[in-house]
Amino acid sequence: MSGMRDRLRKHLFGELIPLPAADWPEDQADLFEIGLDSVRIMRLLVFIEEELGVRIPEEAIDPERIARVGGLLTLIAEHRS
Amino acid sequence: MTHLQPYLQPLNSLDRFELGVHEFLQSIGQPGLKLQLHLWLEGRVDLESLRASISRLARLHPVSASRLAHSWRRVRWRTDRDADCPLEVHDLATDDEAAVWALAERLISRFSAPDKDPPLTFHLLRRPSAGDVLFVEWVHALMDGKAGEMALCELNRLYREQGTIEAPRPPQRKNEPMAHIKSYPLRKRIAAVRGTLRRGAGRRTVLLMSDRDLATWVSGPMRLTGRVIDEERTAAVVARAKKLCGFANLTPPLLASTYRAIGSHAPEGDRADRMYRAPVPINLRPPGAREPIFRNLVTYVGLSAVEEELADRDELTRLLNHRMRKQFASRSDLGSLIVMSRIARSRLIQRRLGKHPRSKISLGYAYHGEMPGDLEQFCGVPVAREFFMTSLPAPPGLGISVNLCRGRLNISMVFVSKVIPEALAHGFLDSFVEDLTRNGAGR
Repeated sequence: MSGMRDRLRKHLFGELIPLPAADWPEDQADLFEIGLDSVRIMRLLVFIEEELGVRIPEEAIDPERIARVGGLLTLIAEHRS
Repeated sequence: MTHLQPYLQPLNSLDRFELGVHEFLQSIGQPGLKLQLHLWLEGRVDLESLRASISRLARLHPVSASRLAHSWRRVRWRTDRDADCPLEVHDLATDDEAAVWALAERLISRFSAPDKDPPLTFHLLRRPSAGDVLFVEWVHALMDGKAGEMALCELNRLYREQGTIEAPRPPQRKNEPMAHIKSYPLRKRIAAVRGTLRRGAGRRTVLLMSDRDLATWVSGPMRLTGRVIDEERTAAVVARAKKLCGFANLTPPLLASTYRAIGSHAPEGDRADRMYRAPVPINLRPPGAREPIFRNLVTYVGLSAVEEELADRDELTRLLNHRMRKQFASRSDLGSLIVMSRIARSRLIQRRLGKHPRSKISLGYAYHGEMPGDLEQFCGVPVAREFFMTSLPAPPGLGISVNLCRGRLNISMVFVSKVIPEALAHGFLDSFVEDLTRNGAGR
């Protein structure tokens, strides 16, 4: 799971919400406060599906859980087959 | 402070695309592809401070007061360090909101030639006993719809930081859209373009409210109007978006209600084989980016529905959200960006747009998101409302822009009255707002 966490964080803070490596936030930081918006959520879901091989159906998306890296990792773990 | 010497700033590939559309629109009698942003303020701004800030904006960003120069088959912005962005002051005779809209209509319907006229202008409307309204008007070839807010934030910064010495900035040479495109591997770029072209082929025509099957383009004058949805009803719309889409994705509910309102006003016999389609603008700047202001950096994904999908508002919202995700999965945004960048030479655009207009146009739509925190006050005065406008021809003859301002949805509408009569346009807007804010999902 740590490999998945690293890839997720690299995509989030390297591409979607670009930040200097020293400023990458903790897993419990609120992603909406640092710039996550609806378009970036769409891109994030595509990344999770294509690059991490996990499809999260629309009905399973929970605004509270996608707001944090920790919640996203739990969501991914729940939908890994 | 060292002054920048005059220089030539090239247009990036999207600027050139928008310039091509601008020139096409002028070839059919339109004023051009212009955008407006309206800030309705709660009080009066200090005029001299505003003038000084606008003057500093032109010094710091000379391209904002430049002119287009054609030379050696290339088009560039020719800057002049002594040029200013104009600020016109209009003393209105009444506080009536209709007077504000009437002036905005006159301005957006005015012909704009960026080789002679400044591409960015400001208008301060002084109402006798109500707050001021500031209009920002610009040619789309200079910057995109989202960048209007960035220009205002920059103006606000210059207003606040009176004492600082501005370091002149070198002209930006980078072609940002091409840099974005090249960040994807070649195979993804090819697949994205193929997907975009495939989706564009053989599609059904868009259902419009006009009872005329327009075979030719029809130009303005433009009519403008706006609505504000209060905090309680806005919160309910956002909560419904979260419930139906999993997060606060407002485009699906907004488009669902737009399509349903058009459907309820379209001629009965016209709709059977038609579809509803709108390009959804996607801002490509990183969150919080302050640059590039005076460049276009946006792409689109198309979202469509057909008549039989309109019966249930919430089901349609879910469907549009699902389709939006699929559009991103197929890199439709990248494909659109590549296609726009490739056909950026104006003659190619004119050839494409000049064909039968109904098969080439989508409804006008944009969701601009939440107003930046930097703009809650403008030149020290609280902002009450914010509206976005885009000039457009008919078809489509009607465009909707929406944003969130201080917890309220601000909705603006542009329409071409020769094609969409005033009563029909207002009937559409009433239906749209009612459908968007109503409890319950059916028709």
